[in-house]
Amino acid sequence: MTVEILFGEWCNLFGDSGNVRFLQQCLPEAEFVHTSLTQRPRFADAAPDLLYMGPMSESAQIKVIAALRPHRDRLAELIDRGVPMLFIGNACEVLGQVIETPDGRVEGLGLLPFTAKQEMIKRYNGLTMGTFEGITVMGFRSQFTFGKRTGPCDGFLKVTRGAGLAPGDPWEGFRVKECIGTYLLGPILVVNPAFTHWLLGRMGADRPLPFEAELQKAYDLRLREFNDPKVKF
Amino acid sequence: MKTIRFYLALWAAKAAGLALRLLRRNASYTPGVIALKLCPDYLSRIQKPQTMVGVTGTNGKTTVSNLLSDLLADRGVKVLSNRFGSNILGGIATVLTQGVSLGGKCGYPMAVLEMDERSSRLVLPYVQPDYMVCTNLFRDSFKRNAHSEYIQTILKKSIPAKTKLVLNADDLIAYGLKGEHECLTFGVAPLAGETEIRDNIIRDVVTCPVCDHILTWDFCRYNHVGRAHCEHCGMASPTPDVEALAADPAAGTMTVAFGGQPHTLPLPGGSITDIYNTTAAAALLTALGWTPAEVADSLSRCGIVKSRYNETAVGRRKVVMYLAKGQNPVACSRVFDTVRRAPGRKAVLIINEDHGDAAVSSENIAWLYETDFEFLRDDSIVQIVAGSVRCQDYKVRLLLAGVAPEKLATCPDDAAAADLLDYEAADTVYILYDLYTYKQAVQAKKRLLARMEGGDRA
Repeated sequence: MTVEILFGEWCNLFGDSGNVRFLQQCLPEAEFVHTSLTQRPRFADAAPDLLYMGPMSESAQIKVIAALRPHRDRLAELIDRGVPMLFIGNACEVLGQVIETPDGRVEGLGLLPFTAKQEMIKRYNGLTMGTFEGITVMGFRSQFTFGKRTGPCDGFLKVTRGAGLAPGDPWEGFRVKECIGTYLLGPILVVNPAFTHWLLGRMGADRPLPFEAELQKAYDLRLREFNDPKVKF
Repeated sequence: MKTIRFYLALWAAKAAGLALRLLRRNASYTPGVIALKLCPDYLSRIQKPQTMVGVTGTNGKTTVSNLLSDLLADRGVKVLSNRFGSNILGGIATVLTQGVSLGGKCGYPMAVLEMDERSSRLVLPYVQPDYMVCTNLFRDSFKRNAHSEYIQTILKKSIPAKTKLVLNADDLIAYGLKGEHECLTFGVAPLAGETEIRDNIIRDVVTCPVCDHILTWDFCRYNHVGRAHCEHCGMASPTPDVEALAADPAAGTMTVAFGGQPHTLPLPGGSITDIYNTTAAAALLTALGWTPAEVADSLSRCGIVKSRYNETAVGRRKVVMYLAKGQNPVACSRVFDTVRRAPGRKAVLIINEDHGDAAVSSENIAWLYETDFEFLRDDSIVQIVAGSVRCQDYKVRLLLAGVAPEKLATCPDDAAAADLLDYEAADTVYILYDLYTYKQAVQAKKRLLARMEGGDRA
C-alpha cells in the first residue's frame, strides 16, 4: 500500500500535517512517499492507493501548479480511474480553473469546474458541518478565498450548518469519484473518525483506528457543540 | 499640519483617557480609537518623538521593547512606550496621544513602540519608525495571521523605505524583510553543549528563498531558527553583525561579538529566548550609537521582566505558572521543550483553550497538530492533566503524540482540573495557560496549593 504526499515541504499549513501523521498511525505497514517540489511525482509512473496534498501559502500555489501541470493529464486519468485523493484547504484550488489574486489570475490545472478569488485582507474563519454518504462531517475553516462553481460537479458535503464553497452554497468542496477536495481543516481525519473509516475502506484497508474510542468521544462532544444553536458558525 | 479637527480629536482622546483612568478602567486603547474616529488621519498629524523605534515579530516583541525602554531610561533617555498598552492601531494612537501636550507638542525625544505584525500595515504608513526590530516570524494564530509568509509580505509592503532594520539573522523569514533597507543583524551562534531540535512539526524554511531547492541545515536550533545554506545556489544564513557567542547563565553573563569583537554582557535570564531578546536589544542600541560598554553597563541594572513565568515553592516541590500562548504553536512548543528539559519529575496542567471562541463558538483545534505535544512524551513527565472544554481534544492529541494513556487525565472545569494533579508524584507542577486563561490558571493554582498545604509539604 502506497500513500503519496505531495510537496509536504510547502503544503503543510494549518495543522494538516496531522492528517499525514494520523494516516501513518492508521497504516503502519504502508509506504509513505513524500514527493518534494523538485521531484517527479510518483503518481506519474505508478498509481498510489491515496494521493494527498495539504494547504499551502498563496505563492506556493503557483509553484505547485507549475510542478503539476506536466502531469495534468495523468492526474485526470487517475481521478477517472477512481484513485482515492484528498486535497485539503486551498490545495483543492490547484485543481480548479482559475485563482483570482489581487495581482491578477493564476491558471489552475482545470480539472474541477470552479474558480477561487483571494481576499487577502478579509480572512474567513468559521465552522462547517455537513453530510457525506450518511456521515456527519465537521471541520474548521480559515481561508482567504471563496470558490465559485463554473460547471456541474458533485460537492463533498451537503452543508447543514456553516458556509459551503461560498456562503449560501449548499455544498462544500468537491467530489469526483474518489477524489475529494475540501476546505475543512481539523485535521479532518482526526476529527471525523467515520470519514476516516470511509477513506480507509476506499483504499482497501479499513480497520479499527488508533485510540478510536477517544476519537469518537471527541467527535461526539464536538457534534453536540456544532448542533447547539448558540454556537456561532 | 494640525487642524481644528485634529485638536478636537486630541482633546477628546485625552479626556477619554482621563475619564477611564478615574474609573480605574484600561485606558491604553479606547482613547486612540476615539481620536482616529474623529480624525482619521490623526496618526499622520500628531507630533512624534524625534527618534522612533518599532519592535515587531511573532514572539519576543514585548520583552524586547520593554527591555529597550528600560535600558534607554537607565541612560536618562525619556522614552515613550506602550509597555502597558495595546500594540495595534488604537493602542499606538493612544500612546502617541499620551506623549503630547494639550497643545500638541511632543514631550519625548524617543519612542519605543511594540507593534503587532499584522496591524503594521495600518500603523507604519503614519508612524514611520527610524528603526525597526523584527525578533522572528513564525506561524501564529491561523485566524489572524494565516501563515508566516503572509505576515512577511505585509511587513515588506508596510515598512517605510527610510526605516533601518534590525533583523534576526538566524530566522530567514525575518531576514527576508531586508530588501533594500539599511540593516543590522543579530543572532546566536551554536552554544557550547547546545543540542539541536530537528523534530519540530513546523519548519517554515525548508527550501532556499533564492532558488527553491531544499536547504541544508548547519545548525537547527528549533523550528526554522538556526543556520542553513543552499548547496544549489550558495545562499547562506548571514553572519550576524551582533552575535552571541557564549552564555553562562550561572554567572549571568554572555559573550557577544559586535562587528567581530567579543565583549562580555550581563545576561538577564538564562534561556535561549532571553539570549535572543537581549542580543536583539543590544543590536538596536548599537544602531543608535551605543558602545558595547554602555550596553553592558545598562544591562547590569536592567532585567527581563518575567511576567509570564511564576514559581512558588511548596516544601520541596515547586508550582510553576508558565504562559504557553494558545493558538501559537511555536510558543507552546518552546514551553513544552522547556518543561521536558527541566530537572526532576514533572506534572503538567494545561489550561490553554481560546476562551473567546469558547464563549460563542467552537475553537479551531487544528493548531494542536502543529504544536509539538510529542515533547511531553518524556519519562520525566509523570502526569498531564488537560483542563477546559477542549480537554478531550487535548487528550486525543496527546495520545497520538505517544503519551501513555495512564498518564493522562481530563476535566472540563479549569479550576477543578487541579484536583486531578498527582503532585506527590512530581517535583514540579507546571500550570500552562493562555493569555486569556490567566484567571482560571490562578484559581487552579490556589486550589492546588490548598491541597498541597493540606497534604504533605515535606
